[in-house]
Amino acid sequence: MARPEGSRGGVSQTLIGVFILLILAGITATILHRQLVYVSPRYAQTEVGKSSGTGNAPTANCNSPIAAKPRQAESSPAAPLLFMPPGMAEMTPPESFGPDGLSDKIDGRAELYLSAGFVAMRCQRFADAQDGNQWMETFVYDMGTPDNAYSVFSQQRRPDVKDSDVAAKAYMTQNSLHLAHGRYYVEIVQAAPTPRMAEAAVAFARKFVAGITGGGKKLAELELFPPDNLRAGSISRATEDQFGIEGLDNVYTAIYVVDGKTVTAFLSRRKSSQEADSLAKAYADFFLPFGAKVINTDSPVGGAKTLEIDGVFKCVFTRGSLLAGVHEAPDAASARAVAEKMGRKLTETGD
Amino acid sequence: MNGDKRTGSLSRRDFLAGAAAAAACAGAYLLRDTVGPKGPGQQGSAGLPDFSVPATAGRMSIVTGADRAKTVRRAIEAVGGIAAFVKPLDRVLLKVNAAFATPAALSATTHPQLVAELAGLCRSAGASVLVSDNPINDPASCFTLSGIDSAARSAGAKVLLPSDDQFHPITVPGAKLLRNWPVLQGALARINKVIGIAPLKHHQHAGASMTLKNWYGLLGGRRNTLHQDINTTIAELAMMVHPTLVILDATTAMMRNGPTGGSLDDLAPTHTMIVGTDPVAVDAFGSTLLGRRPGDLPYLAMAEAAGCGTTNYESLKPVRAEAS
Repeated sequence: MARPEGSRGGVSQTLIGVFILLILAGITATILHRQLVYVSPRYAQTEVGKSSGTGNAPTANCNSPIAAKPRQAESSPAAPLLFMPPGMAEMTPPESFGPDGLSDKIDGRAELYLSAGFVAMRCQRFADAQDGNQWMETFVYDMGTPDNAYSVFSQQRRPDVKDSDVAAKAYMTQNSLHLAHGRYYVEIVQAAPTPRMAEAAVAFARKFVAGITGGGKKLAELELFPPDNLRAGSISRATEDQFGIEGLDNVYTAIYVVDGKTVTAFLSRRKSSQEADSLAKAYADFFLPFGAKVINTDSPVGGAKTLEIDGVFKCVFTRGSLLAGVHEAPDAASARAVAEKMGRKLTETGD
Repeated sequence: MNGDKRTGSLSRRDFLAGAAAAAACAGAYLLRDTVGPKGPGQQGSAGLPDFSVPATAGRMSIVTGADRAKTVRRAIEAVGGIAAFVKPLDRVLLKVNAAFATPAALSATTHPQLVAELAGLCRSAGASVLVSDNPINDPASCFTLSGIDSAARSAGAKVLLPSDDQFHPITVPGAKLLRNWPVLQGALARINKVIGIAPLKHHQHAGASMTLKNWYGLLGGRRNTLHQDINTTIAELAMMVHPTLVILDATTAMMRNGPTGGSLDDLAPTHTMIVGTDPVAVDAFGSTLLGRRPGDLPYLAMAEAAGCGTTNYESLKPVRAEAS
């Protein structure tokens, strides 16, 4: 049917049309503005945990410096909230970081974790429910494997600290508690060292250890170092290019004190005996261009090669797929003593 | 009825006029000034202005003592007094390190006592003071838990927490990495003096975090990608900021596990305050307190090569004093 000449829509249609056009103009302006204005990366933290359920934990007393907002609880089995001790309350909401965002939380320290197989980190602050000025921050790093967790635990171990009995691998400082349990590395940092917070840190750690099943399994390499003269807490694991030698990863080092002299021993499990032999050769060859000399003496261990460079003695040998030796000793006698002990231990264990 | 419809309808001319008005509104919104007037000498995207005071070039002091308030006062006095750097009606930015939401006792951030002391000194010289940083963690938590917020406000300074609209890209002349990179220019608007205040810390990746690394807190964007070439980044930060004065607080030094630390066992009482107008020289001396040599930190040599200062801090004949 033909439309009459001069026919127009109604007033309401016209107003709706104008209204829609204005909305579209507004949307366009908003989109353009969003694209032009820089968005800070701190809003782009990698969320690694999915929330589920409803959190009903108490929040810190109102005298807390900053207060947690109501939120949903995390479903991760390693979420710090799961291990909050009695008498404590959430002070801040939980945070979670993946490999892309870890440095947004710990800046330059992220490199250490990333090079050791870091998977995810969850952290949260808890305060005394009655005194919000007493608080602690808890960090749970998922390192993927117990080996990796031990790496970051051992490489950051503070000197002259006492072991804690909360876990097989744990120690306390004046204001913090550190432990490696299963695939996790945990740090509990008190804002100020008080008996109340120290007690809360231990309670958190015990709940964590009880809550993570299978975490108490021993690392085989730790048992391969002979215990005599071994400095307590000195076994450390490096994940890459140890001693500056390319490809020499997964290396455990330990400090021995022989007649007052400090000797550094090392151990690395390789994929095959061929690879171990190849790396033993690479180890010795690495130092030759720097002036190292091969010492022609009775070998402390069958097949061992002993080197001397600038008054520092080194020894390297293999047992099956294990590469072992002494990296630093002040004289040939102490290098030999430690190498012999290691050789015997590896032979006894049949590894 | 037809006549009524014509009366309420919109002519093509009216529609175009309405659309033009809407477009004008949208255009005005897009072109609005979110920063405000620029400070003296600000050059927009071609780098930051020079905040240094030429007459004070090459001044440096090293003061030992355990009391921050005393050592920093003595150290500033030794380089000419605050009046040599800050004049009445100046607008001073105290660029602190508020990177982490940790208590002052852990020495991962600028100590609040130092913030209060500096703010008080600048205000006594007749200046207004702004305190700011773009922290690694949530800004409000960082400024609150570090104690910097309350210290600054109690000393009469204003605190600026970063927000998205305060970041605008700049290109540092001669830089490879800091090109068209978002910088916290909102904190520098109307500012004509900049004083950097940094704690002395070990840094897992860079070796040490001191006054040059402190400028990292002016950057936005995906700045963690800059860690892939941390030495070039810090050297370019030295090229980006020409401060009025820098203060390196080594009253307590973080000797290991930096830059976050976490344990009091990571700290050592080095009891030294270093003040100077040459950040490279100040940091070169600071490295020695961490048991390193300036040559161990490649970014110092790179900054020196770029003309930002000297690693031979002794050549500046620093004033040495004790404040007990």
